[in-house]
Amino acid sequence: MPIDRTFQATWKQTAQHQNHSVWQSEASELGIHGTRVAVDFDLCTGCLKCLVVCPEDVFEQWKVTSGQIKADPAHEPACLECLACELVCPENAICIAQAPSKSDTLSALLD
Amino acid sequence: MFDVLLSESEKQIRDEVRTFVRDQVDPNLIIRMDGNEQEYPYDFIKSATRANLLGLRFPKKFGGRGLNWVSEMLAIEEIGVLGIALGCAYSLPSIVGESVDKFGTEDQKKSYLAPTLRGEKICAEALTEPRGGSDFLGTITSAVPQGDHFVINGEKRFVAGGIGADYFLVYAKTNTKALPHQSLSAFLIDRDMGVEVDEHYSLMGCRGMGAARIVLKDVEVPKENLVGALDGATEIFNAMMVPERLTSAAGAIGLGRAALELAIRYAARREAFGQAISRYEGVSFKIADCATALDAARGLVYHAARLADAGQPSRKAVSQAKLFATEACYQTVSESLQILGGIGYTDVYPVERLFRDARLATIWTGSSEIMRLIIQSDVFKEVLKAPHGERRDVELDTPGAVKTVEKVYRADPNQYRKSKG
Repeated sequence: MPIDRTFQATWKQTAQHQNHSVWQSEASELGIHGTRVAVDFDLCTGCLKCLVVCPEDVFEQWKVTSGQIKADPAHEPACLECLACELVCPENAICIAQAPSKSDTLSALLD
Repeated sequence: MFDVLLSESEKQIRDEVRTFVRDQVDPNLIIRMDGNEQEYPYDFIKSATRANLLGLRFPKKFGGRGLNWVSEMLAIEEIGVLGIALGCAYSLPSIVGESVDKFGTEDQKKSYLAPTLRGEKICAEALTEPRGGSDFLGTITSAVPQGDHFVINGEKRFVAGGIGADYFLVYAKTNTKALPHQSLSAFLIDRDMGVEVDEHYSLMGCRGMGAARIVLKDVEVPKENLVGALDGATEIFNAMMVPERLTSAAGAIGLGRAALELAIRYAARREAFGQAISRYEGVSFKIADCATALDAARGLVYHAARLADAGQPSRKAVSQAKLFATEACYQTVSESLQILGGIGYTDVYPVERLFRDARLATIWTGSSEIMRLIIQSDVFKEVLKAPHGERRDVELDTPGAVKTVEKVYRADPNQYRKSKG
């Protein structure tokens, strides 16, 4: 199951970690780290492909209490929204919050 | 989609190479090659050798696996995902090996083919001259017999892999009186026989494979290094064009597929005007067209490979496969870059590198224009020289063919003129 892309509306912001928010739901154990660059720590296997492809070094390795490695979006404000991390994540554990857009701006453009 | 047309063993080799590409090729190698930091992918050749993946269709006793052409095309399509340079490095043993396996002596097979498939010797093909590549039969590099050797003089350029090569398959003119197609011979020439090798070009793509210029000045080559018959290189050239053009075609499909898969994943996630861009026909129809073009290319490539497996003439089919697959590749990579938009024009994604690679695919190993020349020539011959009993009566199918009255508009023009009264 991929990261819950509605987490900002349906999960609760419970803590801060490395200057980013941590979000929790009832079913979640480790939560989602980050808001603009969100990583579901329960899904992340620590393959760190996102660290390799990110052109802005948004991610850092983070060891959780169980000793597992996770990709932590420690520098999420630097995100370019290139989506490369989303595309390479084999677990679909990452969600980049793209700036909101609506169809009415397209209509306005064409009017 | 082609699984239904493949045997179990063919699917196995495809999956084996796919796993090799995923697990045993260092992505940093591609980046170093593209950045001109590495002049030849020796590590890649070693990895492919360890996995026993070079020259799959050659006999086992020389290091191949005795597989068919279709299997080799499946393998090269998977390697093609890595880009054109590594596809070329992987294909060269198959191309040069074809000349040695088919026309070489037993000693040549032991001294050149076997060590090439073991990764101990790197090979390259020296065909194109400064005066051109398409006009192969106009080759002016000369080989003059002198005692127990030939003295060779000439220049070759755009020798892919030449920088790393230990030996070259060189075409040279050995007969100044005979017709062009009876005047050339092929030679295996070791680099240390006195071949000058340098790299004069900064390439748009296909970097890290060393497009060499080689100069042969009074290079003495033993007569036992002549491949096939004296003045018989045209037959060798024609045989080598099968792996040369088919590997170019199959590799291009893999290259296009790599770009298209990225574009599909990107389009499914990237949003504009409130929805994923994949929901706009401007994007999704591009994907439909490219996927269709690549699948059609596969049909042509595997048809040509099956013809080669059956030992049937395949020149037209190979040329069609090369033409269509490389053009489909270029179209696909270009459209994929368009789908990625601005970010596609950066080096965040490999699509810009694949775009530079794809541009070469329609030029090398016989340009699209040369492929069309061959295809039209063969098609005209097929139709115009077909035996009478095989011809279709096209004329009788035409509805108006039986009418004998000439169809000329015969209305009286005066009916449109005002009467003077």
